[in-house]
Amino acid sequence: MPIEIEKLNFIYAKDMPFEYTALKDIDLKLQDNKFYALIGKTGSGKSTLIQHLNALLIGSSGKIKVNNFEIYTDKKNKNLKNLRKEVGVVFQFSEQQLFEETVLKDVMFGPLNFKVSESEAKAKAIKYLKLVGIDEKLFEKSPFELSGGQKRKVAIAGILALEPQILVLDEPTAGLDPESAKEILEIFFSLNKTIILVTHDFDLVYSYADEVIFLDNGNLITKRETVDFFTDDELISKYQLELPSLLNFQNKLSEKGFSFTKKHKNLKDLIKEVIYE
Amino acid sequence: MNNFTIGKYLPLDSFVHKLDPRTKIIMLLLIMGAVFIKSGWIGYFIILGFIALSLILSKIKISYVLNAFKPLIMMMVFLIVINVLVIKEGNLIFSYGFIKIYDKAILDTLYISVRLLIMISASTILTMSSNPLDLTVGIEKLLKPLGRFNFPYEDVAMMISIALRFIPTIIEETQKIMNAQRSRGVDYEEGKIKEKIQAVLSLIVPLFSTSLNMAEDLASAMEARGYIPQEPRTRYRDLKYNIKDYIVFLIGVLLVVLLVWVSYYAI
Ligand SMILES: Nc1ncnc2c1ncn2[C@@H]1O[C@H](COP(=O)(O)OP(=O)(O)OP(=O)(O)O)[C@@H](O)[C@H]1O
Ligand SMILES: [Mg+2]
Repeated sequence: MPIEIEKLNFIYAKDMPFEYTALKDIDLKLQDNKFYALIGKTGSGKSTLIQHLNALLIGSSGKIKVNNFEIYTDKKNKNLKNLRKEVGVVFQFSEQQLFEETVLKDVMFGPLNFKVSESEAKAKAIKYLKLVGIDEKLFEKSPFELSGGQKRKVAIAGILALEPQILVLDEPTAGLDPESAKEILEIFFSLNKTIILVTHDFDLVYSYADEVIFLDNGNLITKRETVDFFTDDELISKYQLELPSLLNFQNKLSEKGFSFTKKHKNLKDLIKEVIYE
Repeated sequence: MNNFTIGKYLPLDSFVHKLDPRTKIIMLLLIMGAVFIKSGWIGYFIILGFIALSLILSKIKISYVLNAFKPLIMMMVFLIVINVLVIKEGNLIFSYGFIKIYDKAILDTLYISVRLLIMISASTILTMSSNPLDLTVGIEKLLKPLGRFNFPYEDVAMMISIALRFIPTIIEETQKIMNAQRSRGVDYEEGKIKEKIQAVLSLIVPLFSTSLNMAEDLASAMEARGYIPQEPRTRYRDLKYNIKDYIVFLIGVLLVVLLVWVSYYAI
């Protein structure tokens, strides 16, 4: 069990008049090498929750264990750097974190902080920059000369280059064109790591995620298998969630008399079954 | 870490909240001045009493104001140490090896601390009880007489209000960037000199770039809504003194007179 969260609470601006409980008694267990989608309305506490996974925020009460590294809520934590090497977080608007003179140096910055040698850091930087689709011509440019989407890709490469076991992504594709968004998700998908993806795009959730974690107003409503989640009509109508377009499409086909053996997570499989059955 | 909310406006319904912002600003200046009237402990008690009264009338919980002092505790400790080491007047009350503490050092430190306490609680009450927009208008109106000497009072008031408005935003941005860099292995607490410099750079550069972007966006947004610095602007809501304000002014004047009297006759 790499991540175990028990009765986690978090309060912003504690003891101030505008104090706000952003997480309420969260219980969550996540397994290795699975792809999780973390969803919920704006302000439901998604970003707050993921910042607990590498101890950037420390809960007001509760227990967190990541790969046997325990984060204490009641005493000072030590060696957080070891934890942060295991858990890579790509933040919302991650393009703001760039600061080095060149794109390449910026991606090398993370590995160098974790005591990777200069040459190895460079090799990793090149590997992951190429992986996210940054052209070699841009390597020696200043990150401030790139477009918003390119910056985002460089920032993502900066985290990938740390080669963490657990990858946490806060809306990494917001503001990217659909093509790049898909490419980036394919990359995450192919990494074979534990992935926690925060997103509002249910189509992406439906095609890529093994399980869905659903937050509402600081409460964990449910965590379950993706198709299970989207086919729970009661839940979907209670929280007025939009269905993924593929599932919608399959439902419409079923209404018209097509029968399927299962819910398909990508269009190709769906078409195959329609044609060959 | 998340307590940077000090001095934020608390929209309550109270006597102090309803006062004209100009009245509150003038009273704050009056208190700041009054602190320097040499009226001894009696004077300080009078001023503290006045502040306690405003706090009660503003319905602000005392714990919120006390929160503003947390960051100052270190400073006060520092002050005490410096004073104790530097001031060698009055009676020796404690001596151990080369450490000699005189009563005047303790007394002076106490005086300074009380002055700080007074000034900070007074300004905290002002910002917690006044809507920032009203505060700007208040500053602008108070600066208006300087307009006669070609002082760009409207621009200055606008600048002050924008600066005040952006303090919390910038603090928020700073924390976001620090968190992003911490995830990349930056340690802001420890490390060698070279690593420290890198750490600071990794914060400062993005902070400047986002601040400049924000400034640019704000400027465009203001221009798009027709803001021209030199043109006179009209207001939706104008400030007006009413009877409450006159009463408060009267109390303010009495306070100063009382303090001056104490300084001449009571000590
Ligand atoms: N620094 C802060 N101080 C006080 N309250 C905060 C702070 N940051 C977030 N909150 C509050 O906590 C709640 C959860 O915020 P969070 O950023 O986790 O939401 P989110 O689910 O990530 O939303 P989004 O989809 O918009 O990114 C919100 O209601 C927000 O107002
Ligand atoms: Mg968020």
